[in-house]
Amino acid sequence: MKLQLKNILSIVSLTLLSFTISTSSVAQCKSAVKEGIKKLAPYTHNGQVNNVTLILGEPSEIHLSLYKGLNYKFQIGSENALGKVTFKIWDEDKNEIYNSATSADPESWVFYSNSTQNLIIEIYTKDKEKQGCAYLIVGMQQPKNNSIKNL
Amino acid sequence: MLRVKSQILILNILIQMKRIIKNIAVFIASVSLISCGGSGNTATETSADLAEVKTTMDSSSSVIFYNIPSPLETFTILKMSGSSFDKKVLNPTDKISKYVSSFSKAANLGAYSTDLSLCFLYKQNQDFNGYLKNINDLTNALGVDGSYGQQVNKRLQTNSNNLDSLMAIVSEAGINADQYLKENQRNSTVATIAAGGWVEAMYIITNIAEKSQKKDVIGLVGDQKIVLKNLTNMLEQFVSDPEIKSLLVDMKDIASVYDNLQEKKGTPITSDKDIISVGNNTSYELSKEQLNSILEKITLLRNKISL
Repeated sequence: MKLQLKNILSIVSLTLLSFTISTSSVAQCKSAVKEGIKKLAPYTHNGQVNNVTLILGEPSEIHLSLYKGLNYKFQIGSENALGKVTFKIWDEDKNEIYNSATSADPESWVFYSNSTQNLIIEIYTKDKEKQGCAYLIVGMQQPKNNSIKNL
Repeated sequence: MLRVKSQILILNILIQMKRIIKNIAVFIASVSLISCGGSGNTATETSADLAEVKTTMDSSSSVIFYNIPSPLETFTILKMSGSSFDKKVLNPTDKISKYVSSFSKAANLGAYSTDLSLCFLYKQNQDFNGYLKNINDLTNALGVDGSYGQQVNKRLQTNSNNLDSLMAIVSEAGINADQYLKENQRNSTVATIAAGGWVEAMYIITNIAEKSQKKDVIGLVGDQKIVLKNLTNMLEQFVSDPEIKSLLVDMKDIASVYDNLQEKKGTPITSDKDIISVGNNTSYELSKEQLNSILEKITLLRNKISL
């Protein structure tokens, strides 16, 4: 009954054609995304790539639905031309729950989702004069200490 | 490359306009057909407003995108509940010849991709290959380059006995196809594929919930209240497309059942060591009548799509 996610962790991504909504994204992002997917390990990529084009310091918002009962890892990155990006996470009531700018690892964040919820991820460029493609990819993992039965 | 630069230039101009006329609704990213404008802020800010700057989102300056959980996420939860594989709830592969219009091809590409994800998680090799062929055919029929080319097909044949390898190749091809459609500004097709995939997943989990009466699976159906909100927001951006508009009507009909659900506070739980727990620890409970009502509505919608 226990899902053996570990058995499939080596797979780059598992969900076929889990199409996402984003800008008509740029090809330059592809290599950056591939690197990002590698950084998700040991989390399993959910198969989706959320990419956005950032311009003149304007942030982009991605509204994501997440299930209760899973550990998640958010990994963000960007093409070289854009430089470093940071992200903030808000709940649906617009309460800030995370700011990567104050984190030791500004490119990723791991958490357990204790309810099915929509989170809002805002991605910013550090250098407002630059523009280009940024991405957010999501990894998931079954928690070790609990299962959905406990919820 | 040239097109991307010109799109960026257009966006630059739009942003400058927005800064000048701050109350006018926001930039419509010409690159993206799917931006849904955030509400504009008022031009005059009081000192109290300014005091809240650090804790309040400024949606006026953002381009908004929506996404829903992948079928893999949904079926991971399903499998964690101990539910068994049931081939009878999948869309039969021999229906592919019925999918003639672009909308039908896109929606059923999403549906077959969902079925394939379920086959993968439950290690149903033979069925997996059947859905893989259909996905290949529909992707080609939609004119998507860069995904299922000869090179990919060759890799698939070489790894035909290894389900994990097959899925990795197919998944990579899927991401390429997704990118291809976006780069070619076919975002309504992307949204239709996502919607078709959700309808199929919803049909599967609702049927399993009704048959098994497992509390966890019924809870998973209840939690689609949250997912459906993001999905309808996504589709709203293409409401000028009559087929998506019709789809949206059906989805809002399903959403109407969820309107009456009561939020239930769960027992506090402990997450893994060193992992922060996020959320309000609530869930939605469906009555038997509500579950049956959703099953009835999702079956009608699924039959419209899968024919």
